[in-house]
Amino acid sequence: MTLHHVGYLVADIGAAAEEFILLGFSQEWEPIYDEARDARICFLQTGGTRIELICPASPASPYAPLLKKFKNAPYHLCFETDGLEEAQAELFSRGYVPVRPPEAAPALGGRRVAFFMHGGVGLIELVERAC
Amino acid sequence: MSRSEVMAALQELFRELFDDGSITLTDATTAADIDGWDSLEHVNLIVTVEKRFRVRFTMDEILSLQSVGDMADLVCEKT
Repeated sequence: MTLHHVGYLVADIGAAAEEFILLGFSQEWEPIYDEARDARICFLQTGGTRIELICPASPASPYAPLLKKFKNAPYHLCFETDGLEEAQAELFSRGYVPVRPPEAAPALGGRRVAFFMHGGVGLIELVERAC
Repeated sequence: MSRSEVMAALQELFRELFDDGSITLTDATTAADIDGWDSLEHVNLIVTVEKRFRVRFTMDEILSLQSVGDMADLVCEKT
């Protein structure tokens, strides 16, 4: 597995992106709306490090309570893997607990992602590597 | 352990985990009914339930849990 991005919750995605650009990041594309998660999402990169800005679009978004809890802050690491099923089984065998079933992520070109929680390292996302 | 005993133990566990002594569980109780029961606390809840009842859920079982009733049924199956 290789690190793909750091997930970062933000209350105002436009303002956050502007600030990260001032910090040296380049925005990969304009924010897109993820209907399933009711959130706006974009990616920025600097020096080989990618961050994902995630902004709940309404109080009904599953990210809204997380933003309330964490404020504007990084809250997960995403790892890219060649085999999503195998990686899930490996994490589960090591005590990671699944948070959501695998699902397509529009902001990642429809690639499937899965979220796991671990008491020692927090929230981890897996994304299958692009073909 | 009877199902009513499982429900009573779950209620005690919920009250402690969510620091709310007024929580009253029913089979239909879901995350929407409990303040603070978000996706991250759900994971803490699963781990706590597994320890309390000395059971181990599979990935599919964890992902299929929708309500307290589902959780009680699953615990009863495994104890």
